[in-house]
Amino acid sequence: MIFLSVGTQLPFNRLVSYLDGWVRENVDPMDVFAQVGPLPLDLTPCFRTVASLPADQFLTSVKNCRIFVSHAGMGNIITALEVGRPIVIVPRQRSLGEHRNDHQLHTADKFRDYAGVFVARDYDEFKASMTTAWTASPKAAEMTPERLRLVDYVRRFITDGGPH
Amino acid sequence: MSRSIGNRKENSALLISSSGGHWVQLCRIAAGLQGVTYDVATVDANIDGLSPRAVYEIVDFNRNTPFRALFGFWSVLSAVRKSKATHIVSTGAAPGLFAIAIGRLMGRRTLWIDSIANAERLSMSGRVAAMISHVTLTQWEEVAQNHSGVAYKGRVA
Repeated sequence: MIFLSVGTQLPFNRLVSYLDGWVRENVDPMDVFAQVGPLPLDLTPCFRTVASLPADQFLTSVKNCRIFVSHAGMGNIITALEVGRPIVIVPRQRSLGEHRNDHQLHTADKFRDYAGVFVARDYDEFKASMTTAWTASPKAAEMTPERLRLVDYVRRFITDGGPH
Repeated sequence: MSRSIGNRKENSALLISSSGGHWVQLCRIAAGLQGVTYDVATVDANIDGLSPRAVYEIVDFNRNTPFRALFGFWSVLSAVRKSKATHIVSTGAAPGLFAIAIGRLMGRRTLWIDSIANAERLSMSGRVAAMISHVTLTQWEEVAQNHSGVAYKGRVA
């Protein structure tokens, strides 16, 4: 399942149509669950859409998806990192009327280098990101150097601790 | 770190957190702890992929559920007392903080790992943990720079 979330405050039809386009171009039948905010488009039948989701269902959807497609909202990116799912993010742009300012471009830049995070600014980048995210081995995403470092620290904290 | 010859007790940990994202993060750490003996105290019944020595069920609570907190306190207290662990590790939130506090009183070594969700500043629980836990970690380098005594040692993703 591909999970799409654009937040609940503003529509983001550019991203919805990117994913719709990618799904139409793909030969594999694909299941898309989409949290699309206030303004749904005419979408391919494989899209199941809701305007918004309760927090627990949102978390479950991120946990269970193969790729999480999202606007560059901090909460969504953090949730993807938290549960270890690959996320493709498209930042909203002020010049296209998608947000009041360009803070999502800054957020996207901040997370650009994180393992499992793919940033796309246009449709070509989106397609490339989706392909990479789709074929990326889940195992590879699981064991990032930063995660190994943390696990190693916790292991040493427990086993090397001196007498109490 | 010196190992004392008289240290007869094998080191082990009690891993404890509330549900949702905190638990997901704790599992992602525990999954890498092969060869380490650990107990878990959890709200979630699902411990797939983990091999704990003992499992303790706890009642979740937060600062908006004061009545429930009474049961929560009791369940955490009893988990910490029953567990033979020498160390306590928590990713949050309220139940983990309480475990760290009573763990310290009982002479356990304590480690707080603030949730990855707190990318801008330490959580409220984390700020309390920083005052009482032996070690307090954040999962963001920028947050570590803004809190003295709080370190960055990697993140779960």
